[in-house]
Amino acid sequence: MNSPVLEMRHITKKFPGVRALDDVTLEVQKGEILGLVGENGAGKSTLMKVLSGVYPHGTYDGEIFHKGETVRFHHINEAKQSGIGIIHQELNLIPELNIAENIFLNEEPTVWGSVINYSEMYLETHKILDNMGIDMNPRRKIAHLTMGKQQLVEIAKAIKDNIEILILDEPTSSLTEVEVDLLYELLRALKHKGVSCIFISHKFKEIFHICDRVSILKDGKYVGTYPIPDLNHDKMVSLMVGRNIKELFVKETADPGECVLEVNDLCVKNPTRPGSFLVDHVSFKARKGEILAFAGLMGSGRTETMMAIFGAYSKKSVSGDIRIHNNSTNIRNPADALKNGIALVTEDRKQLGLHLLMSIKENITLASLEKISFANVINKPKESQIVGEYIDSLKIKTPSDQIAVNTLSGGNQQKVVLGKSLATEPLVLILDEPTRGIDVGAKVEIFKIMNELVKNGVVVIMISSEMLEVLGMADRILVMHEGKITGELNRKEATEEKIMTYATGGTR
Amino acid sequence: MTKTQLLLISRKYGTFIALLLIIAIFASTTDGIFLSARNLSNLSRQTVVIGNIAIGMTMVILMGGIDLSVGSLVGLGGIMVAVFTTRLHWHPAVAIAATLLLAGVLPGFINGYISEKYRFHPFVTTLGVMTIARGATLLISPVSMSVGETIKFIGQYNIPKPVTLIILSISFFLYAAITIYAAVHRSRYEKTTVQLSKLIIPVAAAAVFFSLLGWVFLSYRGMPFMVLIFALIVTASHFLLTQTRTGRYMYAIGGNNQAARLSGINVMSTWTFAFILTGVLAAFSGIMLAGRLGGATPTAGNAYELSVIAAVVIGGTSLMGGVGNIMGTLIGIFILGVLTNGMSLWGLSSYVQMCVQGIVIVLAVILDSVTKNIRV
Repeated sequence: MNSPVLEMRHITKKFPGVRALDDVTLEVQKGEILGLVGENGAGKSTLMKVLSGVYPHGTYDGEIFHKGETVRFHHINEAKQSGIGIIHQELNLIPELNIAENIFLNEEPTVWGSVINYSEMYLETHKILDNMGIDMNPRRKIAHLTMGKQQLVEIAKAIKDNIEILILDEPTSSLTEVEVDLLYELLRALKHKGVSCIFISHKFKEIFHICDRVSILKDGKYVGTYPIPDLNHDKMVSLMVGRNIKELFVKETADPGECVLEVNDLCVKNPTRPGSFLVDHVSFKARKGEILAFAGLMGSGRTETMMAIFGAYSKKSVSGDIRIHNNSTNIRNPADALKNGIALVTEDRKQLGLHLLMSIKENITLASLEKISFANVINKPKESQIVGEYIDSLKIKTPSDQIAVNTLSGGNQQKVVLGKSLATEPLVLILDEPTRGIDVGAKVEIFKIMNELVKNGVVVIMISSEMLEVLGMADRILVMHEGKITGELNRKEATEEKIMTYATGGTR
Repeated sequence: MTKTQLLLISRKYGTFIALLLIIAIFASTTDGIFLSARNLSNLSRQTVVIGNIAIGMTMVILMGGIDLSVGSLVGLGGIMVAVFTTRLHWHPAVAIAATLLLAGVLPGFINGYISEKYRFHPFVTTLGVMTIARGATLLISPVSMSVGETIKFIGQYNIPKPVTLIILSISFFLYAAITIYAAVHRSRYEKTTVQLSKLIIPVAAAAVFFSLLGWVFLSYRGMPFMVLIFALIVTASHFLLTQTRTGRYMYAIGGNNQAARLSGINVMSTWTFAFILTGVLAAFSGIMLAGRLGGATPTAGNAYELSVIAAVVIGGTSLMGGVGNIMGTLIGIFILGVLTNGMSLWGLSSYVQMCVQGIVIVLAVILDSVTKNIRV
């Protein structure tokens, strides 16, 4: 075997409270497409950020070798100069500039020092796009392109210099099938030219279709690298998830009881595109004693559905009927939702869930202060007592309830947000991505808490993008696609394939 | 002592130490004039007008807002109370109530409600109200007017010395009792023993503080009535911020507005309340100022908003919102007041004083940002 074009050895990267990468090794051969897979939070994106200089040398341990030589990138530009380019999951284009201006951003061809030579810029862009086999007008504004075309512009931007290694972080998540085929062709052409690709994806079909080898990460650790012919779907899943899948999901089934929450014809208007809907006539029921999961791809309208139920949008853009115990409600704002017994743990913990500078105590009681106040005055001893109970029952690891929450780990922060919602004593608890960005131990604890809640008669609604979590925890699964509910599955019949079929708008 | 420890101390007590240093400098360079009871009594009276407004402004800035209209409301409040008492001959209580309503509640409501309802920064709304209020004041009376006797009484009356002594003693014993009760109560709930140091230090500090006040007021004319009112306002505001839901919501809204909304907090009412309170305090300051000077000037309170914001910022309240407290603001008020007073005793021109004040503001903010991010 040839010596690899790139090697990463013993990479360890720590964040406060979490070890995101733990002694990870990665090898890339010249002209290969290497798949990189792992669950959400396994460390794929972190590893690629280390490689591309987003996390500069010194903030991680371990070494990177490029063509046999040690390299230390302190900045993205240094990685770029060595021929390493990255295309992030979220596109980094400026919508109001055109294709050529984006491709040559900060590297514009100039005359007289600083005057942009537009004619040369457009000519060069033409050449690059021609080489890629794409027919696009370099003067077209990015904002007017489809997501797929924007993705191609990103690639054009990355490969215009002499690129040797191209990193693609979930490049197909927002592409149509035709666009995906175009991307495959492009990658194969690059491969012929000797460019290596690292291809991160959650979609196994793509990995098997396009990759030569695949490296697997799990919980920040390196599992191994396998040639594609040696693998099949099941084997890859078991390598990714490891043996502890059974331990992870400690599901206890409870008997579903009476219907608590009923939603009929819920619609949310799309503020940026009049006439279309973010949530399109969604109706469902949630019963006592069940965990109801909402599955679907990013942007399928799950979060928007829950935000609408919680009253987070202005009443003007929302229509539909929400009933609790068959009584209709009039929810105009989150305060009304809480009064009706609906609590929401948001997906974006730091922006929407927490007051980072405030203490654990102040965060936990914030939504339920009325319960522990006489008139306007807070009963502080009682507050401490209640917070103490939640710290114990949720196992929040902290020396004191006075600690500001920004010093806690992700898992403990999530428990604080959970505590805040629980302190309102809700009938219906909505959890939007409850385990995002927290480590495995904390995940198991969150799952246990969910079981406990269901046993105590709380209706739990969970949004999750982690398929295994949905399959492991839910009693019933509703799948959304483009604002609509496209399928319903019960625990027994649900499989990853069926969910994916509904989530991509297909029918059985 | 390590560098971190030093920084930690300066984070907690930095402005307080600075205040003591400034006092020490003036005490030693003015032949004892600065530390005379007469001077300190006058100083207390001067700081009350700005201090009052700064208490309200602390809440507004804490919530991530700003109020530029307070200076104009001081002028409007003074002129209104003058018109009501001397031209219309209303009963003083009615005159004061009407002034607080028209020059305090109404503009405060506009400041808060409109900026929240239409979601633009209160900088703009309060800038508008500031201009309107000053214009209205000059429309009502372009010249100075005298105020009624009761208003003068509020601004000039000194509480007799025996009563001052009784008030100060009761205040001290109340403070000590509450401190001890709270500590014992808390230790019972948390099942820990009472730490004696946490009792003795605050009570001893209070003893020193109240004795100082006693010495100043008992050796010169007794406690000014204005100062008593200010003390009550400070106490009530401190209670509001630390012990009530409204106060907790203010911190939450300033710290993370979105998360506060999603926690079911009525942002609109809390936000508007803070602006109304600030407006009322500003109008009341206008009444007190007019009373102290014996008459109202339409240009009174000009540029007060800047001194007020300076005092709040020096006191450690973050313009980003979410951080700050009344005690810090109190120290900020004293720093500005002592500086002005001391430099006047030195005979420095007001131009030099302005430069020094500016430097102090910048230094305070540097101190804040240097010490803010230390973690132990």
